[in-house]
Amino acid sequence: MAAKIKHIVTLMMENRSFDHMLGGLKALDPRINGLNGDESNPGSDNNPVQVRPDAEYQGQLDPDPDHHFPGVNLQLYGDEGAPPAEPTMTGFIKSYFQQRRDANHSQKILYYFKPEKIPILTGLARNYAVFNGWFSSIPGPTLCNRAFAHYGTSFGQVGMNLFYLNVPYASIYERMVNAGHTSKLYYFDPQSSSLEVVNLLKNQPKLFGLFEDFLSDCKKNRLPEYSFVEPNYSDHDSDGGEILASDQHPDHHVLAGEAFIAQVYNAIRKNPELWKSTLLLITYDEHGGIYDHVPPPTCTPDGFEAKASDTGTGAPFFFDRLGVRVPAILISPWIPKGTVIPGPEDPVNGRVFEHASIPATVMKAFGIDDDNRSPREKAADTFLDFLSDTMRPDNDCPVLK
Amino acid sequence: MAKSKKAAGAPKSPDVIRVLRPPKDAFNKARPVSDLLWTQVEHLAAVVRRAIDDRRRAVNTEGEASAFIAKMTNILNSLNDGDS
Repeated sequence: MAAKIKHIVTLMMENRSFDHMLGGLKALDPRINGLNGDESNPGSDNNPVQVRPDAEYQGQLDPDPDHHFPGVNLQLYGDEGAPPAEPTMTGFIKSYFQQRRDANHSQKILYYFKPEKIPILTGLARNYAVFNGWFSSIPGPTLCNRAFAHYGTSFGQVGMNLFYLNVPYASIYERMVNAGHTSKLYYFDPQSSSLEVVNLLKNQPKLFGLFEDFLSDCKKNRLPEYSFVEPNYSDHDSDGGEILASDQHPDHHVLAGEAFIAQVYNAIRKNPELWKSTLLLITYDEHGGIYDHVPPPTCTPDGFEAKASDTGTGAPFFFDRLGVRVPAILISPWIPKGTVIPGPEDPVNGRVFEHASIPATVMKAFGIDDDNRSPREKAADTFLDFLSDTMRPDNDCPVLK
Repeated sequence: MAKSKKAAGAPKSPDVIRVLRPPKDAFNKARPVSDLLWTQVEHLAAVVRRAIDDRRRAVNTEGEASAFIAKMTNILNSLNDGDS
């Protein structure tokens, strides 16, 4: 790794697609593979419905859009095909219509944010590096996608099962500690807890901390070499009063997530020692059923098979194609301002990343040699090479207030 | 009096991006539980059951039994506190 980086931090938010959050940036920077405004999906009456920059912070995506495996299959292929054909990205309205049978409401699944409505995410994307080609690992829901960030695989799961006990590969946190490094998952508070419940069972409290510990560790130069930060998953009361969910999972308020992202960034940014030695990745676990226009590409098979009875589509799944594209932003003063990392839209220079890229990069960064990893993780692209040799001056890196 | 302008060549300050805040009425703890949270509830209950069972099976002596009993009593106390 670039010797200057001593810490990697991943912040994984919930359930928003690339186009929904960052698609509007294409109008400001045509290198960003967002939306032109004329992309469309067939409506419930089969007439085309165009995307609109009318996304709201809360209240539009209720009920929670379907993002289980069969629902995502419909979103990807519409009625026009099935794997192994390339996804057409034409079934998003049809999928959402099934949930409420309301034609107008179902069109909101195509809405995207004006960049000025979410200034933290869009501001960080434009000030550091944004990935045009970061995809969720599976066309399915939260836990199997998050598993790829923790283990480099979901061990054949395409749903919300959790029991990764007695599995062939250790989590990246255990691998780090076993190799003499430091690593921690920070969850928001006990009421929100962690979604990485298996590690909670096996390794609480050794591998875990609270978000307040993250803030304190940043301040006191005690941040582990690799950290994974979880947002708050629920509106709940605490000793300090009412706390809003900050994960941006529909229908949680998007601005609470913006404030949380800013808090994580500022915790690192405000400590000069940490700032110059830390690489922060902000990404989302999956698209949450919300529209994106880029067909997910094929990928190295994972060596596992999900049976037809588990996928719910009538066909098995071999973990040989990725899920829907999600926002991903890489932050460090060593990253040139305005970096856009090309994706599948660039057949020559484009690169594809997914959540298995996270443990793959951490292993590479800290020089851990362990062949006992999933085929997907071994094949996953890594992102250390976006660090330049020049550290940007302090006044070139934005502050969030 | 008007503020004096910054001297030419003075280092510029970093750009400030303003954090927009959600309104107070965004808070809704009465929102129906989502699939994700319900799954987390189920999984946490399952791993706690498993952890308790593992420890129960490891009890062989009076000392170990009393330590287990103390833990279980504390768990029940904390659960009942949460109900009050």
